[in-house]
Amino acid sequence: MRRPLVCLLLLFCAGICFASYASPPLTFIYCLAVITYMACIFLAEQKPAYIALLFITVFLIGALRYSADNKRPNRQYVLDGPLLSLKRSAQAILYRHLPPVPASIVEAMVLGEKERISPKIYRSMMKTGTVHILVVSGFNVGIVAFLAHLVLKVLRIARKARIFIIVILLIVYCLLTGASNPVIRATIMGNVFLAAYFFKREADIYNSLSIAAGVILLASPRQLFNIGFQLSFASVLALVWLYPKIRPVFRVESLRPRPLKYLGESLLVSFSAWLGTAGIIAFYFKLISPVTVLANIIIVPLAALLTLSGFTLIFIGILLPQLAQSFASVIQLLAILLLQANILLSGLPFACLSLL
Amino acid sequence: MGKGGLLFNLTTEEKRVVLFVVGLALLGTGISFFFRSPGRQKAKNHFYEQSAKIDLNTADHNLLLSVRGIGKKLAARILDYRSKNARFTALEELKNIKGITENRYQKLKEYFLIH
Repeated sequence: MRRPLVCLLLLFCAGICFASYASPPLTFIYCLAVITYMACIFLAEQKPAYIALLFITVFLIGALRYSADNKRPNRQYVLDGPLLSLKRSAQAILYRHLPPVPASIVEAMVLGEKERISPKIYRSMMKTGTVHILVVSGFNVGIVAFLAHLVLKVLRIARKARIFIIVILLIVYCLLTGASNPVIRATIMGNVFLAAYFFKREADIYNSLSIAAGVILLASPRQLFNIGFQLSFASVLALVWLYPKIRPVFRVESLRPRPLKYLGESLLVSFSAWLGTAGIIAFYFKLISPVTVLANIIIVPLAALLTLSGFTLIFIGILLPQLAQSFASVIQLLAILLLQANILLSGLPFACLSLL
Repeated sequence: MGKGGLLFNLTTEEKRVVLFVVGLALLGTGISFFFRSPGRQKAKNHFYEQSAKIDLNTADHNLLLSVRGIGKKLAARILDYRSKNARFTALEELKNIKGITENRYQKLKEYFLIH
């Protein structure tokens, strides 16, 4: 049972070494292999774990590749060409149908390209603590997985093949958006969940979160001191761990009528995420923004709609360019609402306190 | 899912997606009609410009720093220039500041506006 696994593992290690020409830290690769192995055992137990192994290893190659890229920026890889042209064509669709300001916002949300976001917008979102919506993260990964699942199901693809294809698509999306920390985290977590679905077992969110953290840290340990890494994991941990803890304290369960209950719940979700990240933000940015709790329940739904419409616009732009204009006007309206809400919120008294 | 056509035996998920796309298209058509008049078009573009560009006459040190290509020294020089001359009257005045060449000005002017 275990021997083919080990053979496969060695094969993959050889593959990774070959792919990275052995100059990036070799030890990490072996550590990664060990973690992969342990994860497979944990996920598969008695079953042959080829698929889980493949899921995670393919991903590791990507993660490593990109962490190595930071040291050698001019390095070209086989996948870079097609990925880049895919990204370019998506960008071209966005900028063809939208004015530059909303296009830059959607571009950051959907394609993870923050270059063209105006610094003024970025800074005002930082003040209200909603800048995380300009980053590709778990929500986007979820959308990609959901859409892929739907399309493949309509095409009547078998369950196991479907999962496999989704995993590959998630990895492609991760690399496409530049493999930043939140995407890598969300993709690894998504892959762990898919692997669990594959073996019909239940995925544990703490386990998947720690696999994600372990893989990222092994690929490049310095990430521990990266602000994005800390914020990304702190916020997820706050949502997963803190939110169920503080929920009974405020008794939102018994709130009536129902809309009030939803409002209370979203306020609490927002509050726990803020609580989890406030310390880090205060330390690095010398800012404390109490308005974040309020801002997130207004801006996150808008941003979610914007992300969804952004994806739709790109697909429509490819399939039916004649219709794209009307989808684009929804995006424009949403972008105006988003910016306006942000301006209003940052203007509130005690919105943002500077610690300097 | 029955044996029948793909369109009529939709699962809840699929229905939601179809509804979302159709709703988006309808809403979008409405909005584009609303924005068709030149006055509203102009107001919209004005709003985008206001929210994306930094006003040189009110920007503070931190806001200037957030622009790509402006460091601490240059931000200080820009503020210095502003306090000496009361206010900027044209974007071209940026070129009077030490360290801003024609080339750099072309890149920087994208980010700024003057009221």
